[in-house]
Amino acid sequence: MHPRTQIRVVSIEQGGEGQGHDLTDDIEGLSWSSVNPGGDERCTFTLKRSWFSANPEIERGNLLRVMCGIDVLWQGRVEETNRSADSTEKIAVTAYGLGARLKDGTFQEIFIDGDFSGWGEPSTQRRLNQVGAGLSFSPQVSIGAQDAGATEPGLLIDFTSTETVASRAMGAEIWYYGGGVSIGKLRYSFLVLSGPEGNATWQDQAFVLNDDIASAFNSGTDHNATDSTNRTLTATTATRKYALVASNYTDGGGTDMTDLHGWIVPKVIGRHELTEQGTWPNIGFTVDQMVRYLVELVPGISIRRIDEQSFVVQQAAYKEPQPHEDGISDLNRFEGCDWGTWGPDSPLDTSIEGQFDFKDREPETQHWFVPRRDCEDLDLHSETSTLYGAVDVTFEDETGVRRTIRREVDVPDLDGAGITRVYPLDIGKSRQDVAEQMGDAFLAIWGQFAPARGGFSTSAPVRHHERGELSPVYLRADGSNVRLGGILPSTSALTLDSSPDRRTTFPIKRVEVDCSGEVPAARVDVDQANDTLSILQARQGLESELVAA
Amino acid sequence: MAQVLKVGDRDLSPYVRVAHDDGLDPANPEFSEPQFSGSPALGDGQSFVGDAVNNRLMSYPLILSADSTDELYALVREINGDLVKGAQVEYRSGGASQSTFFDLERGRLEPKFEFWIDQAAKVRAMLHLWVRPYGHTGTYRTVIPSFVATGPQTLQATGILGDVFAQGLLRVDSGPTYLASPVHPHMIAFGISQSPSYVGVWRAASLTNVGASSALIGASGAVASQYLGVNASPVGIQAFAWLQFPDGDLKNYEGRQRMLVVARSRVALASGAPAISAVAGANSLHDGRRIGSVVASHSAQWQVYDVGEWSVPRASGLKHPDQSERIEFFWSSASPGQPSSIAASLIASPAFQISAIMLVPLDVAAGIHLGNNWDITGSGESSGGDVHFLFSNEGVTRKLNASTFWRDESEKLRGNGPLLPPTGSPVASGPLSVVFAMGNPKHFLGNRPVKLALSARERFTYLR
Repeated sequence: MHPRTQIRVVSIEQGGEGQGHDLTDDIEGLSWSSVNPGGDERCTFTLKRSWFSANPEIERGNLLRVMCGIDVLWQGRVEETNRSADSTEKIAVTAYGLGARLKDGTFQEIFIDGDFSGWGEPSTQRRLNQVGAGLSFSPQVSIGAQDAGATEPGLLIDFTSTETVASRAMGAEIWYYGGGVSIGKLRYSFLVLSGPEGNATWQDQAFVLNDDIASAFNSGTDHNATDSTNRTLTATTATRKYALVASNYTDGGGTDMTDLHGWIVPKVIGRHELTEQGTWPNIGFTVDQMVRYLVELVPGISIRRIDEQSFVVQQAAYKEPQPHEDGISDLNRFEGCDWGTWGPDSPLDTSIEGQFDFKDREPETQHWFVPRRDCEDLDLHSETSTLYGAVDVTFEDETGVRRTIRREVDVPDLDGAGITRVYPLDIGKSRQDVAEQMGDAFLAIWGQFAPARGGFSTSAPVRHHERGELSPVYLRADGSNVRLGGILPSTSALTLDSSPDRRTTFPIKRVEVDCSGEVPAARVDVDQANDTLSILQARQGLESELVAA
Repeated sequence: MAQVLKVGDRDLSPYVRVAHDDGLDPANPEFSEPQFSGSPALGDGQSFVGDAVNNRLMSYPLILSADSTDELYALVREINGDLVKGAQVEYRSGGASQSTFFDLERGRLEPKFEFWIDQAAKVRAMLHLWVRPYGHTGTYRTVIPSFVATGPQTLQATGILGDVFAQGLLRVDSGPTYLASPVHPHMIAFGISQSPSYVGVWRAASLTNVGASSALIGASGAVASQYLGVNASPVGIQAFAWLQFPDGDLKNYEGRQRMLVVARSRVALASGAPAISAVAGANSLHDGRRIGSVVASHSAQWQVYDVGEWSVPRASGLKHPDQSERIEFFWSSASPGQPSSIAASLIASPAFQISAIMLVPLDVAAGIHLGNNWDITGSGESSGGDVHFLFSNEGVTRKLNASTFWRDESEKLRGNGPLLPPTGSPVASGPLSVVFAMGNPKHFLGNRPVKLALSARERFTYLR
């Protein structure tokens, strides 16, 4: 004999003494959902109450929890109340998971900006001021890209075709504006690409400034036409919004100049103080660093787990205000982690903040097991029409030549039917090893068992690989997978290999628990679509942008 | 004995009609409907997933009478006024020796107007009462009148009657020793297990010492004044204790339990803190089923750590190789994901100390109350400064000391009041186990006095 699933719904008033209310006995039609990525999604229920009575339990902003025993199943905040009436007055309440706090505010940050499009001409007033001070903007300014050449891309100040004028400085300035975001550092290398070196008459300097007319600034070392690599200019205040690199020269006049000065791979870094990763000039930050930084900006959310990553993102700048959640989603395209905001998972945790997880995927772990007989409305459809036995990967190599390589795999379903299907995949500028990797990743997804998606419902107890038998109310889309027993076709059912595979194990993408019926029922949506290829493409695209400037 | 029907204070016994086809039905069984799940196309039969339990509809045919028709109508009005939510219904059949009590949700008196009977100041009526589904004994019966001890405990509760879970009332008295300051963080944790052999508290002396250089050490303030100390190099991963179960004993722990550990770390790391890890049935940290791990900050105070949830499959006595008969505890100088070679600095020796393991069974009923402000300078419930906590399964109310309740946030009351499983009626059941712990989770004293009392209101699906 076991007692019924002990679900409770409690709300906690925000502010003041935080008075708590137990709503369990007063509500109908309770349901809640979770989604990956995102976490706790939405919770709805109906109260049969007078519209005009004070209902502090369901005030907007109240924290809402759905609990089972000492476990928190869902946590969020009340946001919507809808009044209606048929046989009696009702108030329908909708709460959203605390991940909504990631959308409450906006952020702007330059984690690292190596995009040359942010650099340009000085402002009109600046030109006017500098001309009045005796500077002649004769040299040409350009952006040097990198393709087959070994020299890295940079901002070029070309003094060739320039003749010096007595008592007049010949120079150029290239300015950067971060859209109002404070600059923390400017990283760069300086190279004398052409012309004599080591002349103190040259002024080759970088600056970080408050405005476009250099009212206040921090200045870097004057390189005086001497190569200097891996430099750092640090802003001393949060008021620096601009960066500037400048080269100028003064002599007695009449000299035909042959100089080409380069400000190589300039990178602007904000004031986030994250520890640089990588080796110059391939520096940047990892996704976990930046995600942690973003989440720490959001009040009401605590970081519970962020798994360390290794890929160094060399370009991540958010100059336009955007919600923190959008920044997290954008950064996650490089890793494909499971993330979401949840309630606390320990009974000793008294926090009412959202708990943020950012976890590596575990595609091989069978977190949940549900036998076929306990599934209702089971619906799994595979896109077998997209099975491929080979992929032709086309890319443009370092020398600019377009090449194609073929990667192949045995697909029993196609081979048995005598079908050969080849997919053309163009990945743009790349290398052969990357092309091979992408081709193999494509076939890993589309060359064995076509991804299946769909879902099922269950009211029966489900088995967790560590916690044992649990009510289906414990199911949630937190990066876990579900293995469905008894669904293999006869040709596969008797294989001895019972290890997790894509035939029986499905990532959970969304769970909706419905307690409006006689017993709680969970609807689980699954999707085997794999982000590996898109992650590789995102990383490859980043590399292409930086080298091609 | 005569039949009894009372609603609140009103005795309706004289009005009840008992003829065979009058419709007397005090024990309508159609309040519970078993629910099944699964697709008939995919298997034979369907799995039972629970009962849908609704309010019980009781029907009492009455014939009301008064001295006059006006007084009869007044009687009808008075009876209607009694039919309010929360009223108690008492019913005893003529042959029973004890009454069964029910909690009224709503009632409706349906008089049937018949002119000539009305002239005689009488009216036939059907009284419909919608009550909470289970009858009960009406009052709480003391099961454990007074339990006094020190530190976390496992105690036995015996003799629970009925054929559904009884509603329990657990009263905890803190005693004046908690009143050192008006701000006093506390934790009260309890769990109910149906196994009389359940051991919920494992003191240091009960643990199997397997550390290379660990020993049992006496210390005032530790649970049972002892702890197991590991005096090894603070770098790396090391197993230091087993929680060993005798052969065949694991069946007493079937289901889920929350594992709380009373421990303290005397090691500081540059970038993290030592972690306690628990693994079931393993020879190494990586082989068995990992229960969980927790970061233990260095502190001179004993602290309560939530290691995680341990689950034992229901196996009807069969052994499960992945559970084995022991839980192994490791302490690691690295946080999860970090290399194990991080240097650490020893603050005191022994480096790591464990005083007790507490298993809180979750499958029947468990509750954890956490609070950070006990103020008894207001109206305490008794003299002597005791602070009372009542964990009850009655409705949704958690009764706390009047001066503190209004400050509490509902989310700090995790879990439900105690449900006490019976094993049959009318014979009282065998003992069940109650695990209990109370103290400041950040400064846990193992010699804190504990004062408990447990009462039960037994319940029935039919009549008592």
